[in-house]
Formats: sequence, structure tokens, C-alpha cells
Amino acid sequence: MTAMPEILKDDAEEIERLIGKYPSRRSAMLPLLWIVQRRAGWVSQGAMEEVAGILGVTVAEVYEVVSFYTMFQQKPVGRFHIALCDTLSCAICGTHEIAAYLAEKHGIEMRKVTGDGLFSMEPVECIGACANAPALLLNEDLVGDLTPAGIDAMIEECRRKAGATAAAAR
Amino acid sequence: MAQVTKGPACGIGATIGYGAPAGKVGRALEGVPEDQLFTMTLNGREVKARKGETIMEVCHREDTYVPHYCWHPSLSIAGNCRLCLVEVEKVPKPIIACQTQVSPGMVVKSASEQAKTAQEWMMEFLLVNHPLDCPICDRGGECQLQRYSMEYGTSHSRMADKKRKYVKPQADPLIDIERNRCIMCTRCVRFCDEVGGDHVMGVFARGNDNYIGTFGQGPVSNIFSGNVIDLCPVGCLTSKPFRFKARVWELTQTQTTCTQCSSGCKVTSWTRNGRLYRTTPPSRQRHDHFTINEDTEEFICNQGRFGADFSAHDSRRGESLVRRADRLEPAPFGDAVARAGKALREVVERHGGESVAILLSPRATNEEGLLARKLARDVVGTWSVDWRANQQSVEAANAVSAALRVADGDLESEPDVVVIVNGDIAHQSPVLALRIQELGRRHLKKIVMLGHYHDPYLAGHAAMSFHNAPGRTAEILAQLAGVLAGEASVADLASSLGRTEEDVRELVDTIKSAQSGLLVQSLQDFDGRYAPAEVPAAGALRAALGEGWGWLPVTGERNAVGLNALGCEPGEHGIGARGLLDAIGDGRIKAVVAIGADAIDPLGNEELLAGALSNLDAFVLADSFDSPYSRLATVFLGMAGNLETDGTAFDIEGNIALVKAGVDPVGDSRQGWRILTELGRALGRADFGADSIEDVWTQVRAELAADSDATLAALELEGGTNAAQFVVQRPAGGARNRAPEHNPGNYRTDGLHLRSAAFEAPKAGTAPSSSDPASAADGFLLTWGPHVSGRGYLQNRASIAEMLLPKPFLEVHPADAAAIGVKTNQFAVLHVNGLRTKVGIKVGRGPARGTVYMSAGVYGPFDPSSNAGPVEVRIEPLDELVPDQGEALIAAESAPESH
Amino acid sequence: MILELVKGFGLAGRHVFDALFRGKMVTVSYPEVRREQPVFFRGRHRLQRYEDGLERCVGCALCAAVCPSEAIYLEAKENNPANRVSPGERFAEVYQIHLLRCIFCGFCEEACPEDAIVMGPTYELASDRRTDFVAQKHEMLDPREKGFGDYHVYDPYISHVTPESDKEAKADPWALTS
Repeated sequence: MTAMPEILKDDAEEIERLIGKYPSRRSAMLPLLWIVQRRAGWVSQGAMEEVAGILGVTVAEVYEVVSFYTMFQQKPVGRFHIALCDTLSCAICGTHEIAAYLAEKHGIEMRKVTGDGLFSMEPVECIGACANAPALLLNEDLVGDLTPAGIDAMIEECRRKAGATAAAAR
Repeated sequence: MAQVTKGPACGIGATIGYGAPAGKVGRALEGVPEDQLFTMTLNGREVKARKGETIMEVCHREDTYVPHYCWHPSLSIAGNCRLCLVEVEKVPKPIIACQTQVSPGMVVKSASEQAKTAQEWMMEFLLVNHPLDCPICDRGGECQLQRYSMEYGTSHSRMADKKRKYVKPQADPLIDIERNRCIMCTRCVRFCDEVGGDHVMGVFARGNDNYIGTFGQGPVSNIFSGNVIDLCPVGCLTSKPFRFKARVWELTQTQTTCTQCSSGCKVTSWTRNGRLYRTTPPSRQRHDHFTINEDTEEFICNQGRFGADFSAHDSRRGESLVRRADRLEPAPFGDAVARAGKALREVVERHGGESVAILLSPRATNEEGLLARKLARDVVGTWSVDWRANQQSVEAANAVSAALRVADGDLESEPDVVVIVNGDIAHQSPVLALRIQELGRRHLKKIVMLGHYHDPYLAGHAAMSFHNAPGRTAEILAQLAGVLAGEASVADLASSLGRTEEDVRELVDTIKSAQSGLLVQSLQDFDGRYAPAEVPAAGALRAALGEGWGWLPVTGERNAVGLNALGCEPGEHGIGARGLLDAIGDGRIKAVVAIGADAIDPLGNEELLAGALSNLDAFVLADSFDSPYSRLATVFLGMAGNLETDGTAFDIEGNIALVKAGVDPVGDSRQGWRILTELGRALGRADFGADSIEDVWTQVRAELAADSDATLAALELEGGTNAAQFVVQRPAGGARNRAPEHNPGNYRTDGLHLRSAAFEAPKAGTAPSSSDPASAADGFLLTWGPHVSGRGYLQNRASIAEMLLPKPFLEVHPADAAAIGVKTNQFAVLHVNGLRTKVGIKVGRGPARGTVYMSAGVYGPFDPSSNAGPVEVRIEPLDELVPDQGEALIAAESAPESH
Repeated sequence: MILELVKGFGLAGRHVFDALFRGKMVTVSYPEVRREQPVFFRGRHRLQRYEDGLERCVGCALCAAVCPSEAIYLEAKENNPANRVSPGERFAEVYQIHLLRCIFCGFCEEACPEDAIVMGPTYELASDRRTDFVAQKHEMLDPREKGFGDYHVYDPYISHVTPESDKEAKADPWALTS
């Protein structure tokens, strides 16, 4: 309960709109948590306290929701978070080779954030893209039919984007 | 979560259970309208059932036991342990009894082959991840899982894989959480949410990874949290103070009542070798042994549960002391009491009986109270006997007495509307607050809050709440009484409350349309300046409310009702506790007899008291502890402590209960009634007192209930249930030794009660000059929460006292907080009359604007009562934050260690 | 009559001869020599240790509960992970057996879920001081260096215990949590 970074301070209007959509305030918990995750990349303890304060519930209730849904990140992730599908179709079609390739070539290891803070990766259950197995989610985008070359291109694209943002910031 | 099963689904609807005899769950169907009833078949028998009841409730009424973990009569229905599966004809699969409502003609078989197999399989499922470490588990011996394994389980498990394991969190200082043993019944989570009042516990993660805990490993912060230990059917939540101290079957159980506040909860004290190991709600007989009833509805507060072992404190003194040439020397009890008698006789001979004051601890039993009064009136010849040291002024003390004398309300009658005035009830009488909350939560009665401080614990259940400006409560109550009597207009009341006329009209309509109601008034949240005006105002309001209503003035003192009824008060002739220091100063009082040092401890700070007491010719102190006061005594008489005393006491609602000794008094100490008896005899009255507690009780009974012949044994909690059928009866104008103004009037005569039958509003007292509310205008009005055991004389001696005291805070209204510039968890300096202290701020809607609320533990350095003038309060924000409670990151504890 | 006397002395003489010269002695020269006790002998109690020196007793008090003469008193305490006494969370801080009360029925060793208490071969229990008859924990405990001992040799009740089964038992739940 130390000084919390006010992650949602710029979203006051959007939050009020979301809360207005539901019969009770607490119903807006999931949309609010999505805003938090989009802003910060993950849902921190401070963010949960903030959401609890806005919705008038206890922080334990927020944590119940956050811990229920595995797609809410409870630890910091990279700017580009790779959710690699590990279920049957993808696994048969080579998820593990892809994971090994990502680790070897690009240094992106399972459940770890790269040193530059750009990438992180975790295995997930079926993402419903069996037709394009093996597949992964790059942040919220689906990338299917993975090949080493495709991976290289994807990573290159990410690095380019990051570079562009950095340049813009400068 | 809580709302889902409110109302008829709970089905219990008729009576609240706390402090009441067991077996209320399967309530009799008497008085239920015929069209609500139908017949069904339970295990081949035709039984009657009520519309809306669940199978479980019918089974309870019909004495058919259905095993269950998650179902609890006080909590909402979760239906997640699945153990109460029963067979219902025409339903293809077994269904759970706790959530299924009965219907006409339903055929239920709770012990058929199908049901038994289902229960067996569920037991196997529940044990899949259970570590079976019974030898080191503290629950062993009173574990529902153990019991059901024997009764409903199989002797083997088909689980061949590794069991799930969690890292153990260090969350709460009082509750040990061992998640490996959890079966996810979520009783604790629902308890904290529904009864405890804060949703601090939760079910985290999902599926097989489910676990219970608190956010960020914080503590389970509510004042009733200890009850989750009893609610837990397995060894997941166990008591930390009791951890590994003893096995439950080794302990001796004593059915007694808690001596710490006016709720007077029935408890079981578990002792071994003369030592108190733990306190729990009353245990019940099950099969051939006694155990805590897992379905108990009698919750107790943490202070009563964990803080009752103060008699074992290091400062405990068993022997008596006598002053010889400026030194206190140990002496046999007989010599000490003779010496005390001699000292008192000398004072009486030299200065007259009126120069002696006898003060009683508010925890004193009725027996001690009666003997103290007789000692004062009949033997010494003084009017000055008092128990009200905790009241902040003479006027406030008189107001409290006046209120208690005419109180005629209680919660047993389940009033339709409860009007709460200025209550911080949860801190001074926690279980009373819990029961009021229960009325609102479970029985859907309306709770209305008035006054300038609203108890946050109850506020969540209030249907309506009306804050008023600080210090104007009496005025508002008078106006409300006027509106009800048709003498004042709603518009005036609305403008006084600063609310719309519609709101106020709703309030008035609610009160008017109620068949029955209860006016609950907290007497102790001011510095003694407001009660003198508020008590008559509340009395007038009670009179205006008329038939069906009752008035329940609430004070935290344990036996306030009994001591008040027995006339242990000085009246107009004598000197009360609050006037004592002045009277010693001007030489009117030359000798003081204090029964329990908490009879004088609240009167002022140590130096002030030490200065006054050293001016006395004789100071006889009967107490259990070494204290600054014992060192000033002429004679110190070792008195039996908590759980070493027999007697009776009343709770704030007027119910009598037995206080029973579970262990022998330490060393040479004696029970209070024995000390008073011996003291009376040492003063030359060989016939004084009595030789057994039963004889003293007979005298008390003669005072309070002339027609009754109830023995103490009849008051005993037989088998954990209250078997007492004691009828308090008091003919009007009965003789009270030389104290006609203490005649308590005509008591109502229905069982167990001490309540006034003929209500008469107390006369307006004279408020002290400093009660002008306007004087607080530029500062703040200060209110505070007296904690359950007074000002901590005893409470501080509990072995884990520091854990039980709530974290001190200062509650400020949001608008005031914005004006001063403080936020929740920021430190500030509180200035009170030039004294100051650093305290954490909590922004909340408990206090009205312009009022600040100090929690227990903040007001230590201040003694508002010693200040005649208005209290000046100033808050100065500091740029510092209250440190975090949960240190570890949640991530560290989230996932199970392995699968 | 003479004949009977000769027969009688002859028998006695033969036994003396057997004992002295043919090695058929039936008594032992106690205390220099002691008889070996049968494996099921229930003598003075012993508290066992694990191989690594940790105490087997977890202070569950089942022995005290089952004891028909209420001769056992114990107080448990929580282990300090930095300096543990037993493998689990809990150990017996005080463990006393009143040997004058004890009827040597052996229920305690049957009740013990950890095979911690066993009844040893010692039968010399006499003393001239009453206090000596309250056996304290340190008096009953196997010496630390002894470790996983030879008890299974003489105790048929716990013969299923082996060093392997011990390791298994200790790998169980609590290693992780404490």
C-alpha cells in the first residue's frame, strides 16, 4: 500500500463509460484489468489496488479474478510477449523445435524476459489456430504456420518497431 | 457472492443463533402458516417441510445427519464440497442436500446405497491432495476430515500420483495457513466476506491450483477473524498462539462466559495443569467426546479468543502484601485482610464511614457487586460505591446509569428496524455488533444509522444512514421524536440533517411502519460531554416510538447491567469513581477499597493517580497483578483472576450467565466474593457475606428475582447448551438497602432477562458547561473507540496483546481529508490540547464531516476527561507513509510448487 | 533308603559335573554376564533417531493418548528450520515417562505413527530415588552418533522399517514447506 503508480489516471473517461455499461460497478473489473494490462504490460499489486479502489471492492476480490485468468500477467513481461501454443496440434507440428530455435537463435527463453526487456515467452494452451499450427500469439496478434524464417522475420519486425519507437522518443 | 442466497434460501429466517442454544438450524415449524407447509418423505418417514427450505435444513430438523463441509448455517450456500450428496427419487443422479430446495412429495434417501457410495467417492476425491499428516496437525482429534474418513470414507485411496504442494505463506500473526491440507470448502472466505465484514480472504488461481489466502500475504484483518479457525473443517487454518501447545483431547473444558466485554459470549475455556490454552465458542458433545461444534453459530471476537490469558502474565501476584514501615511485605491472606480491616476501621472511627469509597471493576460479578454494596452500605456506612470509572465524567456516568436502569430492548425479539445512534459498537461490544449485522444480513431487517459517527462494521448493512453535524445528535433525536409525535415538521428535520425531505420521510415512514424496533445507542464514544444530553434525548425518542420498540443503550463494560441493577452506584449522596480524585484532593475521601485495579486505572494517568492515592490514610487493593497501584497499597489482597472466579454476570441485553472458574486461583489468592466476605468480617461483622458462592448467589437472587429458586448449577451450561431457566422478577418498589434511588423498577419476567417492564424516559441531566458543540467549530470533534477491555489494564497483559490491538489510525471524513491534505495510509501529527502523537490516517465515511475518530491505541497519551475545557484538535499532515503490511510479492506465492 | 540317598546325590552330582566340566551351565554370572533378551521383550523405552541423527518423534502425543496408565507426558514445539530436531514441523520438547506407572504393555510403540518410541531390552530399572523413575527425553533418546540403529533386529513390530523406507518417509510433505 505504498505510493501507487496511477496507471489508470489517464483513462478516467473510458473507465466511467465502462462502469456505466454494467448494472453494478464491480462488473467492470475485467475491462479495467485489460486496460491495466495494455498500459503496463502486466498487472501489478499496485494496479490491483487501484482497480479495487475504483470499483469499491477489496483488493482480494480483484486478485481472485487476476489469478483466475492466466492471460493476466502477474509478473513483468517483455514489450513483445510471445504466447506459444503447446497443445496437441501445435506440439505435433513442432512447437518444441520453434521454442528451441527461439532460444538458440534469438535468446528468448521460456518464462523469461530477455535482457533488453523486449521479449518474453510462455507456453499456453490451445489458441484455436490448429489449422495454422504451430502458432503463437505475439501480444494480441496471431502468428501462424511458424518456420525458422518466419520467426526471424517476426523478430526482425519487432526489433524494427522498438527501434522506431526509441528513435521517436529521442 | 453474499447476496445470492439471502432471504428464504437461507431458510433459517426466524431466529439468530449467537449465544443461543444449539440446534436452532433445524427449527421447529410451529407458527408457520399452513399454506407454507407440505409433506415429503425422508428416509422412509413422512415429514413436514416448509416452502423454500433446503433438504439439509429438513434433515437437521429431523435429526438426520448429512455429512457436509462447505455448508454452514450462518453462511451463504456454496455447494462446492459435494459431500452432502443424497438420493432423491426420480432424479437420476445424487444431488447435494445443501442447495436443493424441497418440494411437495419429494422422496429423499440420505443413507441409501447410492448416497453412501457417492459420499464415499467424494471423500476419496477430497483426500486426493490431502497430506494425511495427522500426527503433526493441530486439528488432529477435532478434525471433520478425520471423522468423516472414519464414518463415510474408505480405507484406501486410488491416488497414485504425487500430491499437490504449496509453499507455506506467513500471512497472519494469529492464523496459521497450511494450504496443503485445504479442501476448498471456502467457509473462511465466505465468513470474512459476510460476517467479518471485509473480503480479505479469497480463492485464488484456478482448478487444481486453487488455494485460499489473503492478498499480498496480508493479515486477516477483521476482529472476528479467529472464527475461521473453528470454521475450517480440516487443518488448513489453525491457531498460531495455540500451535503445537497441546493436543485437544488432553485439555479440560470449562463452559463459562467471556469476561471482557458486555457481549458476555458463552465460551469454552480449554485448560491443562492450571493453565489456559485456548478459548473457543462453546464446545458440544458429539458421540462420546466434546468438541467444537463445526456448525456453531456462536462466533466470538479475537479479543475473547486470543486475549483471555492475561491471568498468566508475568506480573501476576498470588500472595497478599501488607505495608510495614514503608515497605510492602508478603503476608498470609488472613493477616492481610485483618490488617485491611484494622486500617479501614481506624479511618471510619476518625473520619466517619462517608470518608471511605469502594470501587469495583466493571468486570465484577453480581456476587462481588452485591457484597461490595452491602459492605459499603451496611458495614462501613458509605454511599460511595461505584463501578463506572470508564465513563469520562460524573454527568456521563449518571447518564449511563439512568439509561441502563430503564433499558428495555434486546436483539432476541428480532426487531424489524434497528436504529443505531452514534455507534462504534464493533469495538466496545463486538459480538453485539455481529448480531445486529446478522439481523440485517440474514434476516433482512432494516438497519438505520444516526449520529455523527457510524460504525463502519455495520454501515455496510445499513438500509439508511443519516450523519449529523458533530455534537448535534441530541438535537436530531429530539427533532425525530417530535416528528414521530406529530409536533415537528419533516422539513425541519431534513434541514437539520442536511438531506432531502424525501429521504427523511422515508426514514420516518420506516420507523412508523415497523411492528417492532430497537433503538441502539452507544453510550461511550465521547469524552463524557455529550451523553448527558443524548441519553434523555434518546429516552424521549424511545418514549415517542411507543409499543413494540425497545431501547438498548450499549456500553462496553462487562457487567454494567448487573452492577447497575444491584445498586453499586453512589447516587446523589455519595462520591462516584469520576469524582474520586477531587474528593481525595479536598479530604472528603480518606480511604479507598478497590476490587480490581481496573476500577481505578481509567481515572487518570499514573502520576495523577499515584499523587492522589498516596494522600489516602488507607488504600486497600484487591487485584491479581503487580502494578503501579499495588505498590501504593496499604494492603494488597491477592485476588483470583480471569477463569479463576465463580459467579454470575449480565450481558448488555440483560441475560444472566454463569462465570465459572476453570482453574484454581494462583498461589494464595482468593475469589473476589471471598475477599469481600472476609473484609466485612474483619470490620467486625461476623455474619457478613457467605461461606459459599451458592449462598452469595442466593442473596443476589433474592435481590433480583425473589420468586426464583434457580441454583447456580441450573445456570451452568450443561453439555454446552444453556440449560438455565432463571426468571428475574422484581416487585415494584422492592426494598433496596438504604438506596431508594437505585430501585431498578419493575423487571420484566420472561426467562433470563433483566429488562425494565415499565418504560419511563430518564430525566434530562445537566450537561457540563463545555458541551457547547460550537466550541469544536474551528477544530475537529474527537470521538474514539473504547476497546473491548476498557483501557487495556487487563488487555495489555494478554500474551499476544500487541497483535490483538488494532493498528492505530485516525479516521477522517473524505471532505476533511481533502481540506487538510491527507490521504489514507499517510502519517499525520494529531494535536490534542497541546499534546501530540503521530498516527496513520484512514479516510472513511464513518465520521461525519468535522468529526475525527481515534481508534483504540491512539488515545493513550491523551486524557480528555482530565480537561475541563473544550478539546482542541488539530491535524498536521506528514510526508510519510505507513509501511506496507504484506512484504512479499504475490508472485512468490502464487503457483503451487509442483504437480 | 540308602539306595534313594545315593540316587539323589548321584543326580545332583551329575548336574554339578555337567555344569562344571561339560559346559551345561544354566545360570549366568550376572552382572558380569547378561542374558540376551528375546526380540519381543518389552523393557525400558527408547526414542529412536533417523540415520542422520534427527529424532523420529514428532510430538503427536498418540502414545500419551493410548497409554492405559497415563504414564506419558509430553509437550510439543515447532521446529526451527535452522536447527531442527525432527524432520517435520513439530517435535517433542518435553517427553517424560513415569516408569513406576508404566505397565510395559507396549501400546505406545504400537500407537506411534513414526516408529519413534520402542521398548528396548533394558530391564534394570531399580533406583533408590523416586525422581529417577521419571524418565526424561534425553535419557531415553538414542545417542546421536548411533543414528539409524539396530532396533529392527530385536523388535518384530517394526521390522518393516529399513533405511530405504526411512528415506521415503522423510521425503514426504514437509521438506518443502519448512
